[in-house]
Amino acid sequence: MMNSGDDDFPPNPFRTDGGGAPGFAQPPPQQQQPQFGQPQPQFGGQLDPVQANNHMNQGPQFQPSAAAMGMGGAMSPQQMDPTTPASTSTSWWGLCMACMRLDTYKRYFDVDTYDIQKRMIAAMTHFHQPQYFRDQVVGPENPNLGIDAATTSDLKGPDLYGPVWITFVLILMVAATANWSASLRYSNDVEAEFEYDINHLLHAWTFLTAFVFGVPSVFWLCTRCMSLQALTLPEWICYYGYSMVPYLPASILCTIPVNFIAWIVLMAATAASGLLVLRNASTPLLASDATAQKAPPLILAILVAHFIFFVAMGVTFYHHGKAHHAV
Amino acid sequence: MQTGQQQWADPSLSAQGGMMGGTGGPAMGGNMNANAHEEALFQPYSTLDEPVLETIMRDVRAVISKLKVVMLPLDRTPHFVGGYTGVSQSDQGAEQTAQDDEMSENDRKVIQELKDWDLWGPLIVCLALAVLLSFKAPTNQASLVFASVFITVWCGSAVVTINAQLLGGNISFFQSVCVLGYCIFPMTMAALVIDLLKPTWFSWAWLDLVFLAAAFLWATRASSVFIGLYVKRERRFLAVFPVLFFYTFVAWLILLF
Repeated sequence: MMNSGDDDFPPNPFRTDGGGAPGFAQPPPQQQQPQFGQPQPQFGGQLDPVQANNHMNQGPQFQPSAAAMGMGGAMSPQQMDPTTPASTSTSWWGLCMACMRLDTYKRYFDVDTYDIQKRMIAAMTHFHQPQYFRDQVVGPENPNLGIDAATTSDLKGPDLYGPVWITFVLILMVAATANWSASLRYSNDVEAEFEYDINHLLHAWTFLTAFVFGVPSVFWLCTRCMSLQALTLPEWICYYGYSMVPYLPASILCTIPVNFIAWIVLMAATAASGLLVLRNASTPLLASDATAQKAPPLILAILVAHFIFFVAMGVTFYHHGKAHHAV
Repeated sequence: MQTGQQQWADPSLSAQGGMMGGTGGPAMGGNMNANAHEEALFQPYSTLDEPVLETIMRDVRAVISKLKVVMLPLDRTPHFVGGYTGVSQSDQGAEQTAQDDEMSENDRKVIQELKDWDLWGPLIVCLALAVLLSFKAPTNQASLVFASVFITVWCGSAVVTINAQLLGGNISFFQSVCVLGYCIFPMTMAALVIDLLKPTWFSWAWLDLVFLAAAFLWATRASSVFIGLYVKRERRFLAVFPVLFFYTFVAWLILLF
């Protein structure tokens, strides 16, 4: 499909670089069109020629709009992450369809066991060092992942495997340990214990999913709206996901039914977790903020979100007051 | 229909090899059975004229054969343990890893049998478990228990399968859901045993844990080997861990309810 040099069609209204002016070098349609034998015609039809030129030598295989999922809507090429793959569709429908397909997520699962191990250990041991997790463990987002087999770098970019499974494991552990600590504290009859379990599981699921996936998305949207090009959405979710690692041993320690110990342990875990996110997110935020007026409130908001999470976890699961059957 | 009189093969001959999902319908001729009935089976046969019992029993026999395969006793050789600790650089693919020496004969048979997937077995097993657990629950919670067990089993299987696919494994979705569903059967047995022993002298919490641990080992034996087969060796543990987590979660639900 010709999208330049063809004067019969009006300028492409969806193009964000100022209109479909002819004169751009035509992207190689023979390489790219066969890949899009899919029910979304927008993918094949609306290639941004600037991006296509940048990535013409990358071979015929690329995964459509993986970064577009993170980028959102119609972005100008200057604002876009320079490592975006060439197949980014700029239409909303194309992006919505991209979210439904597994291929867009595959690049965030392209990790080995050793990588996940390394990241989890780094989350526990190097959370206080500025930029360590981001620069030396995770690395920037890599659009060639899974495509370019010659990538020898150890830094594979943000992954979603860690956040997803750490969250699930933590949900189960929090629900189990909350019930266990309650049963150690009180002598419950069977029905009250049952009531606790289902509600603990549901509460744990709500809190943790909202915190690991919802809060970073909100922050990412804020940076988008404030035009701070700091971190991509997968990077946000990755850091928040790995910041949950300190809570895994903390939840086990919280089975001790003494309130004071539970709060201390949770506070330590929150400190570690908050530091991990702050140390890795604040530098890019401050660096991308020219006026130095938009980033500090955002950083403060990250701190506040962590504190609220800490209080909510403590109160809901591990604090045992006098009345124990109220749920 | 080339001739007026089509000679239909005897459907009862294909009863041993008849499967629900894998063969693709009666017109295939049942080429799964490589025995003396081969000639008759190569002709298309119609299952319309057979007795209803025969139709039902075909699927029942398929389900029972797969259940038997899943419940085979544990192998002595720690075959899949060796596979996960290896840090091999080469990516051999699913077919070649099936021929590795680390795959015992038993496992190969299990995998082969489970490749013809059907969803009746998992449905029956899941319903049995959900009904069993909802009987034990207090009356006003019974439907909640049933719903949570049912959803856990099916959504959990889906999540584990999607995870394996995302990690780069070319695994078939329904095949994997089928395997995971069949492997819940030891858990259902454990839940039944625990329930039967409750009114007797044997109802300690520790004994329940022992039963569930045995069921867990049994359940993860075939399913983790199956899932791990389709994924590169460097990330096999990443694909197998969700399987372990899934069965731990089911065991926790059984313990709870």
